[in-house]
Amino acid sequence: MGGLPGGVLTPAPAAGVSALVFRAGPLYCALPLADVIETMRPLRTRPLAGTPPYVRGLTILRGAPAPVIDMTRLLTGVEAPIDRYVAVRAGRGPVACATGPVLGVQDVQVAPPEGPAALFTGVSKALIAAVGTVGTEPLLLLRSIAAVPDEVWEAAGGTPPEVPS
Amino acid sequence: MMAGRTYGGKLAIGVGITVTLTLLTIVTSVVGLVFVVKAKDATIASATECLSGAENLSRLMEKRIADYRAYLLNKSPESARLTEESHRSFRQLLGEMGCASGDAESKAKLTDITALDDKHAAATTEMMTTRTQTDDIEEINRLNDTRVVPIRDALQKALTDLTELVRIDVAESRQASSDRATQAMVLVVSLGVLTTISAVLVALRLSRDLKREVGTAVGHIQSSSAQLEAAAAQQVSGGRDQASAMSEITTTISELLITSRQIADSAQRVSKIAEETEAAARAGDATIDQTRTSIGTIRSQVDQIVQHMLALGEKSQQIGQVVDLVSELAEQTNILAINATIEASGAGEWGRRFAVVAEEIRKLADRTAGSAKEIRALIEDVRGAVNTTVMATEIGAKAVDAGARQFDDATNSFREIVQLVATTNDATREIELSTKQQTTAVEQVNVAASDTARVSRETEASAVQTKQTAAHLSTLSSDLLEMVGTGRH
Repeated sequence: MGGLPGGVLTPAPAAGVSALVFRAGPLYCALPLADVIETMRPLRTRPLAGTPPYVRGLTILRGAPAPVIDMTRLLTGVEAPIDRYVAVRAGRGPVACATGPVLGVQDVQVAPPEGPAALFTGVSKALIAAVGTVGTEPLLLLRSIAAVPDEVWEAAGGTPPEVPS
Repeated sequence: MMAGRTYGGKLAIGVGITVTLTLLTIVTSVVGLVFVVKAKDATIASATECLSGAENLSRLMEKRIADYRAYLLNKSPESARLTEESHRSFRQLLGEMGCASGDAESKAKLTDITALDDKHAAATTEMMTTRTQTDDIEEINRLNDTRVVPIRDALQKALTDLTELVRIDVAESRQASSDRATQAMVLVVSLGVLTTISAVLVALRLSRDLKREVGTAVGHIQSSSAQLEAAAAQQVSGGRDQASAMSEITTTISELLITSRQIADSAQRVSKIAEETEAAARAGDATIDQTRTSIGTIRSQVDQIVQHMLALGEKSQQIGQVVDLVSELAEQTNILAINATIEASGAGEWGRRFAVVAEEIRKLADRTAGSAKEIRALIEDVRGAVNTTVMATEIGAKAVDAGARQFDDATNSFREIVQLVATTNDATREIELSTKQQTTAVEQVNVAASDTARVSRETEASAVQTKQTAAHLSTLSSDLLEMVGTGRH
């Protein structure tokens, strides 16, 4: 299991945002705890044709199909090992976020809206709500996942061929 | 005639011809002189006997006439006796001249004189008889003038003719002898000239042959002398080089002799060492057997180690399975704790307490997972070490087996070495003996080389002498060519 420099994360001050902290490749990311349903091991995933590269495909979460978003590819554009799936609440149902190691729940300190986050534009601005720190590393506080294209939700009704995750 | 003959033969023939012609000249001269002497003797005899005989006849005739006249005057018996005596002397001399005279004319003249003398003698005898009978002088004179004087005048004329004829014969004989002497002189002079010409021709021929043959021979001698001189020079150089080489060979052989002696000593030491090596090799057989037993023991110990290590690997694998199970449980616990924390976050105050407990459980699960991971790493290290040990042990076992086989090979090699050492020992003894013989041979070669070097120096000296002699011979050849008039070729 990965971890921050210096070992396991220490709880953030109560004034911060309670979020689930995980790694996406070289980045430290956090999802607001209110959006997180659960964490699990990577499940069997079926790829979908005609989807963006960061969409790994569909999986079954508690009996319902859900798209799988590769957070490392979404945020950095590169490949990285997948250790966990994090189920989050999205507008049209749960979404499985494929991440690196999950570091735990903690209150994270983020910068004010006029800080570094003001520099983000486009997709980055739509994904990243704020930027904080974990030790000496930057921490990206993500917005609720809304990046799943509609055609992915439409394809969730079918069953594409299964590939190893 | 002289073609193909030696110069000595030619010289003998030339001298023979000259000597023959000289002898012929001498014989001819002697014969000519003999003939001339005989002719002169005949001339002198004719001059002395016939001419003097004829004159003596005239003188005796005058004396006889005087005696006859004396008898006619005085009629003395003495005159008669003298007249008769003169007549006998006249007839005796006339007879002697008849034997001496040779030609027919003289003989006829002598015959006429004899006949006239007979008539004169008869006439005088008749007158003397008449004188004896008469003393008439007148008559006597008259009778004498008519009977005796004509006969006497004829007789005197015949005597005068005889004298003149003898004179002519003497002159002719002298001329004939002079002619013979002249002929003899001409013949002798001709033979002398012929002998001289022959001698000159022989001398010229001999001189030409001498120049040609002797010149050619001397030229050959000169050429041969030059070649001999060159060969002698080469021989001098070769002899000098040979002497130098033999000196170096002698030095080298001396060094070789020293080396041979050192080799003989070394061979003797090697023989001794080989004997010691052979004894040590025979003593090594017991050590080889002990080593083989030790190798067998090591092989069994290695097999046991391999078995123990394989058992240790199996136990480690079982431990790894347990650790994997613990890791799985820790991971599940971690996920459950996180999910519990997530669930607890929406449950108010009680939820926060539960979240604390869940967080502690997650920490314990993390620690458990970390420890399991460390154990897993240690087990992997142990298994790696076991595998490495097993592989090393198996390699060691194989190495022991290979070592055992190699030791067997080494043992066989060692025994072969023992045999070879024995063979080497024999060979070393033979080498020692051969080296001693070689040393003796080298000593003999050294002596021979020294003798050869000395002979080479002597040969060089002889070659120098030969070169000088050849040069002298060449000079003498040039001088001889100058002497025979051919000059240098």
